[in-house]
Amino acid sequence: MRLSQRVISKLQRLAGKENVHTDEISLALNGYDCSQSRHRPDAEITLKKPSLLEPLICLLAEEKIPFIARAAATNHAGSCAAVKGGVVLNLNPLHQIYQIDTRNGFADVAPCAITAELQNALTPLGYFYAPDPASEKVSTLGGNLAQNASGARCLKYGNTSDNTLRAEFITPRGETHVLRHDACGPDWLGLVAGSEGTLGIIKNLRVKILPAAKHVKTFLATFPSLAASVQTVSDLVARGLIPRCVEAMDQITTRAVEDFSHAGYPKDAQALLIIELDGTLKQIKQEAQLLEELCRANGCDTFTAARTEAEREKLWRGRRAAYSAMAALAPNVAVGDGTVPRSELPKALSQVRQIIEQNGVMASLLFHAGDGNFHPQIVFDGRNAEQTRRVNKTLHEILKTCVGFGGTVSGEHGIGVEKRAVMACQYSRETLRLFQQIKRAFDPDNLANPSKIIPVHFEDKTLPAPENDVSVLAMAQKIKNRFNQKHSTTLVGTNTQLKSHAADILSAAELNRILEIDKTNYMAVVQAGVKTQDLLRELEKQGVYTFLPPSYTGSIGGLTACKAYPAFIRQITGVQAILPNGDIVNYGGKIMKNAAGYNLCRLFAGSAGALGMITKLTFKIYATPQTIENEAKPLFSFEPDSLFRAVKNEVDPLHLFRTAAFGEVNE
Amino acid sequence: MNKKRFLCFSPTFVTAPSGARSVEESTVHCTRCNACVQSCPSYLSRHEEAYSPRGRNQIIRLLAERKIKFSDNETLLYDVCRSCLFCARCTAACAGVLPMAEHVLALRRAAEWDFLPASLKILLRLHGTHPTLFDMLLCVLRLFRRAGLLHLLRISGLLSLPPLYWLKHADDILPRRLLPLPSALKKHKINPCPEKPDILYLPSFEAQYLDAQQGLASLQWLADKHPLILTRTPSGLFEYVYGNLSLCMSQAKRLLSRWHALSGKRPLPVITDSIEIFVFLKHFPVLFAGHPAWRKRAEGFAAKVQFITQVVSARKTAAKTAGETVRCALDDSSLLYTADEPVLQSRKILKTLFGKNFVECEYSRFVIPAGGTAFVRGPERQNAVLENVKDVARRQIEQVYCLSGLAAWELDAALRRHYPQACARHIVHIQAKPWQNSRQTHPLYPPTRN
Repeated sequence: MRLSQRVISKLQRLAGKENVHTDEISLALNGYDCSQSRHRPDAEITLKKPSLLEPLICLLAEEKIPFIARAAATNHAGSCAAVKGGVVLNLNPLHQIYQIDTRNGFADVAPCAITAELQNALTPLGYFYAPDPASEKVSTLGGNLAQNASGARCLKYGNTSDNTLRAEFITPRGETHVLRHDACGPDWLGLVAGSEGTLGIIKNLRVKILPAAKHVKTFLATFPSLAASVQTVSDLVARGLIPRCVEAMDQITTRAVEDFSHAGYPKDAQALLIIELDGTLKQIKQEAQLLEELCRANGCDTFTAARTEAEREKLWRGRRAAYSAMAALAPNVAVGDGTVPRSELPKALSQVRQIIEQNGVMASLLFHAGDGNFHPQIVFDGRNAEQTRRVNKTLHEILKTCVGFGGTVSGEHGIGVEKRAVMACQYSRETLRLFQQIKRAFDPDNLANPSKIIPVHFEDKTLPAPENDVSVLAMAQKIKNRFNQKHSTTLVGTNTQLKSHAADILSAAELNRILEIDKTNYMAVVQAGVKTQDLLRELEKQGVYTFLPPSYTGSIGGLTACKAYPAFIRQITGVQAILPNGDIVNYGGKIMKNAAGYNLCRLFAGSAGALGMITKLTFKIYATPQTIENEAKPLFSFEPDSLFRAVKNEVDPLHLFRTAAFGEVNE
Repeated sequence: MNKKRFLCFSPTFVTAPSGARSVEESTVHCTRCNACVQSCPSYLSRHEEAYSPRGRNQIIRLLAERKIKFSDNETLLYDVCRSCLFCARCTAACAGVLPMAEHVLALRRAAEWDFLPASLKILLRLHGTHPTLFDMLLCVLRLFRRAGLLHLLRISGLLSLPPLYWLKHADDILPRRLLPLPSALKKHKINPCPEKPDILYLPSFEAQYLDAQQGLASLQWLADKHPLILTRTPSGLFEYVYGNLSLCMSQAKRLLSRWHALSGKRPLPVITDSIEIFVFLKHFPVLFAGHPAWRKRAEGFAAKVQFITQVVSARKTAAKTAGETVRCALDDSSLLYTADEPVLQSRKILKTLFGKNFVECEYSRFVIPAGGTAFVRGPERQNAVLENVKDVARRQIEQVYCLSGLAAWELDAALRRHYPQACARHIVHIQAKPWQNSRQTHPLYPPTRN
């Protein structure tokens, strides 16, 4: 699509003539990122003032021109490629750090503030920003949020979404919304995080900053097998020791990295772990003792601690040089980021090695052992079509393997255009349809970063829906019947105070089974009708804990749907829900990270049953009791905003699911 | 598109971790990870992809693959080439250690663009090709200056006439108290041509003409211990950066032959006071990658090249500057490549001398070198040097030691104008007595009127 001279003149009038580029060279330079995708846009606009964003987007919406926000373009998924042409908005000049407030623990930044710049500004103040993506020296905070990037420290401190407090967000229609996790209604901030700019553009951010640990200690442990190293990490978590980071490498990678960087890694070790602890000196000493004990118990060959800062730096040098070691071997490096439940990591890794060998490609394998996220780095020459085809095939096979182990095709890099096809292997047709509805609700004209995340013609490609529980199927059938008869439904929890017509009411009370308490991955899977008191009793019996208020009397589904206890919402990693038309959707599971698709956990949490009935939840559990800060909020009512109405209109156009949240049925 | 311009890429070899490779091949190795971008001063002042090292790599790759043409936006391409400061910070940040500055040089050569005014280029080229004529011209300049003719010509506007234009450039860049190194040696009765030399000293252009003190200090530093021989044979670096490759190679061959002739059976160590010349000589084998016979000789030569700080110990100089209480820093910049060994050595010397007063500068954002392209004007260059000045002021540094004479010259001129509490000098000046008031003017940073 070529832009007409009239449109270009309008854009130039708005953004300044010198900031609008339409020559071939400028366009070619704005059509790529760190992935293999190359798509030329029709124009590039360098935005020098944040105030220009809204009018520009309004103009583009009026002219129906697609637009793609571009920050540092360091993603490995092709999220910045202009697949359908349009205008690339270069936000890089908006890189200011506006304010750092240590008293209240936040920093206000522009979307393209550099992660490392913020860290550098915080260090002298004794604070730090937790997410540390590998590209932190160049990655932007807005880009991190759009991709929901994380990094080595996310095991302990959470990903970018968890560390963002507020974001100014511009929808593709040009409306500005201030999104917060704790606002009433669905967690829009959580939904926008990881949406890769397909739902709109992030204008300004407020990020969480934390007091820096006074002491940091790094350890290197080598193991006779991968399984032993992964078991050590599970044991660590089981004993309530969450390290600052746990990085791991297999033997092939260790050898390659050692040859390149001379970091002092033993080449004969089958697996090695780099573990970092932070806190007070006393705390580190205690934790180090426990760490050594657990490593020895799992048969570690060597366990060494970095004694000086130089030694610590040397240990990390090798890990950081892993990408360089591969980049020096061939012109291109394809990086995957599949994630599996931690307990499946050894099996998944051996299968991945097999796939790599079968396809005859050269790859290193790094993994964040704490969260089951691994990065195969495959080197190849992009000019060789056959080699490229083989690499793409290998990557797809690896990602499918991850899905087979109950994992996800992307833990932190996102989907973009490169992994769109494999999304159909992970999600059912119904779930992908819901993704499409969310996209349509935010962006009815498909202008914001089009053709990303959702696979093309997925209706024919998706796998059959996974087997569901009989009670869930029965509930889905009930809802489907009501949908066919166009009967409205009011969802109620066990704690409801609604006085509605009995015929309308539908409760998930019969879905009251605790399905699994997995003490290897430290995850619990429960049905939504389980009462929190019963759940807490069962967890206590098993010696595990989670963020649930003991005084709350309702069901876990009700607590989630009403966002009654936000601390618990942050622990949810998987959700199953029945949509108003009776479709069952599944998202996430026993995985610590998931950057594939829109975060449905955050959509349903706080939706007060207006978008669907939550039937199953997967959430994190802990080996030690957690501090419960506040009491749960009672059932609330909120004024739905335009975002909520748009999503509701898409998901439930007949408004069959009625809810107290709108004040519609609460008498 | 001129086809010849594409073909020019191929015979140029650049250094790579796995050996020499062609420019085209080298740009293909860019994985577009963008690790380089925050180290590039040009990018940081513009925030546009075209001015980033990644963008420059992609431009060259796309040109070579014929996906874009010069004619698509020649102004942008010219500006992109002009904005590269060759500071090599991008190479240091790159996972694949790609020599991106060299890619830009290759593009400049292929496009046959000149970034120096023609008369200045001819004048500076004469120094390499006809040193005697160059010296004669300098004599003329000195005479004109002494007689006040130059001032008259300047105010009458006659210096703008093409035949006299070289005089204007020479007057701009050469110091008021012009004392070329040969004259300085005569004046100080130093005879650097013993019969059996231990080392071959290759002075930089700045040591020969811009700051004779630098040359003298270097000679004193070396001559104390080693019988040395001084050669004014050009290294070819000027032609490599501003001129053409064949002239550069012929000058390099001349230097190799001279070294070979002087060495005899025992290869002579080659010492230079310019970090730019040091890294360039170290990369001679890559320059001759297509010529096996010369390459072998170049490898032997490169193994013997040393920077001046590598042949003196810190302890010796400590006695002279003991009791120093000023805060100092090291500008470790060099042209085209990063030079690890001399930087470490210089840092060690300064740490020994200044102790806690030596400020470790982790050059991160804007703080970049002035190195080697001091004759090129442009907003990026000026911004970058001004950011350097700000950094010096912020850290309350009083003395900045540079490994490059040109960097010291440029930074000192900027400091003089904007932050006179500090000054910049070449590292050899730690050997000299308290710094003399011999600050030079720079065309970009003329002294303030008051």
